[in-house]
Amino acid sequence: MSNRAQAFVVLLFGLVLLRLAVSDLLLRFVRAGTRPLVLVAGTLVVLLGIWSLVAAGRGDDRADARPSSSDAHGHSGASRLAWLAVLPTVAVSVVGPPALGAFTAGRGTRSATLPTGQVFGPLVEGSTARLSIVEFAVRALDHDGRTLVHRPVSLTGFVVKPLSGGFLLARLVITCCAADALPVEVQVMATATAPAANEWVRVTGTYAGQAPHNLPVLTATSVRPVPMPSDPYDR
Amino acid sequence: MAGTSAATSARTLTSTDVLCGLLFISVAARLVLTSFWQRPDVEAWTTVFVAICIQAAPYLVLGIAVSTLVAVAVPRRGFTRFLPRRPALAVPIAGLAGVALPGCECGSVPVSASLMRRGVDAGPAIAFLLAAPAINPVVLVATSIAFPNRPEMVAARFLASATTAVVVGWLWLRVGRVPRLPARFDAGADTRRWDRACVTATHDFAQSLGLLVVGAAGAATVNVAVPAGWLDSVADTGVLAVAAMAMFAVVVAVCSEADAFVAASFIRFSSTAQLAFMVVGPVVDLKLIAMQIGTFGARTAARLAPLTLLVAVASAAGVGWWVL
Repeated sequence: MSNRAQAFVVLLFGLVLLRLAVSDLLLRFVRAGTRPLVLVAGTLVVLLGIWSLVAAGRGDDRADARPSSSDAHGHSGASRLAWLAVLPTVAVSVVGPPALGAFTAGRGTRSATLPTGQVFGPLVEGSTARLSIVEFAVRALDHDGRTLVHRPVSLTGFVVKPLSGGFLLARLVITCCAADALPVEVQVMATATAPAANEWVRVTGTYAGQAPHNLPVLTATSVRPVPMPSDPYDR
Repeated sequence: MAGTSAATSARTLTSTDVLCGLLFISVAARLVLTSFWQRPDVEAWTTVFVAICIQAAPYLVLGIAVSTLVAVAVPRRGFTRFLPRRPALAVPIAGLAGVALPGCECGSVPVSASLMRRGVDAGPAIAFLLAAPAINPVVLVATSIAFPNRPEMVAARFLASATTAVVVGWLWLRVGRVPRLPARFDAGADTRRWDRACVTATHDFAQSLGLLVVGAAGAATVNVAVPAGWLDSVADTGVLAVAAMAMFAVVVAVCSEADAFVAASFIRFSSTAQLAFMVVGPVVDLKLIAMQIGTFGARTAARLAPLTLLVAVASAAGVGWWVL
């Protein structure tokens, strides 16, 4: 691969990093806290790519007299690997994968480990409390859900699969990037037909005890489709 | 290649042409095979693959930036001047010098080869080769991020990796020898120093990214295709779990700056098995073996890789048993 082609590959990848860093697309892949790092990295990579293109153009007659060609013997095999650097760029800008969802939640036997022993105050009385699925599940584990009893709550998540008399609602928890996504699930009891898998819904209802394997149950009074939140994952 | 002269380049296929062709084919494939890209497993694979690349990118950038600065600013004999004459003494010092070179294992192979060319004994040079990708600050910071509230993982990684580097270096003084390296074509340190540094950095970055892609693709495949319970089935088996994670590290070949995140995702495995993954990964994996064969020759690599694997697993198990 010539210096110029390498500079193109690097420049494209830098542009992809910048593109992700300035939009919520980034949150499909990594945590929001990574944004500044990706922004800085993207800027540096773009500058490097541009400079390298200019440098390759300036020294065109001796384009391959780069220091690394002194190690040409050692690099001949590895240098071809640089072609693979195109793949992340293609994956983001051509394929454009969606956030992980029902497929990942449905295949795992592992669930996210929930923090235990947390002490919760009571939910505000008289109104519907909007909780994350993680908080709902943790509260359900706390003294058999005493802070949830008789309190209407609303949860936002995606549908994993229909169950008899309802469906399985989940949110994925990531600690670093989508590669370590693990689901937290709630069994929703609803009379209406279950929404399709991967559909995002807001479910309002009340806590109705635990199914086996610490799976909290919610009896729904309303199930509304909602757009996917800007950050699809919980933490 | 751009190395072809201007007269013939009009007729030969340049790598820029190939690059454009690849991009064209990928766009066409996206448009034609719509249903393929919408399969849930393909979508999940792509998301995980991209996620690993994006997560690792800042570390890759930092590693390349620092090693470029070192290459430009540190004088050529900067390393050799500080090494003692006695090889047995030089091994641990060269190993600790690896701390100064943050970067992927891909970057340390050429550096250690150039150390050997400047007359450094093979033992210290190999200690440097094994230590540099494993115990540099960038990797240790990444490890502490991947294992929040568990500083003992960082300490154990440092200890086990340093032990591996030094022990293999010492053993190499006994059983190995200086590999015969191909003659070096010197590009000559001319005026455009920063231009060359920049082109080298681009080269290193593209190559490291390519190697990272191999690891990310492997990890994404494992994430999507291997049944969830399959790897976990050996998770509780003690010794077998350590061996399985060590072999997994060799096959999956994640860059050392990102491997802590992969290791951390194997939550069912013991800390020692996760440690084995992080200690083996930077010192022996498929891409590294390929580079060693390319640089030192097949005979040297055929000795070095198994020896390193054995020592790495042993020291990970020992340190894990002691610290974790």
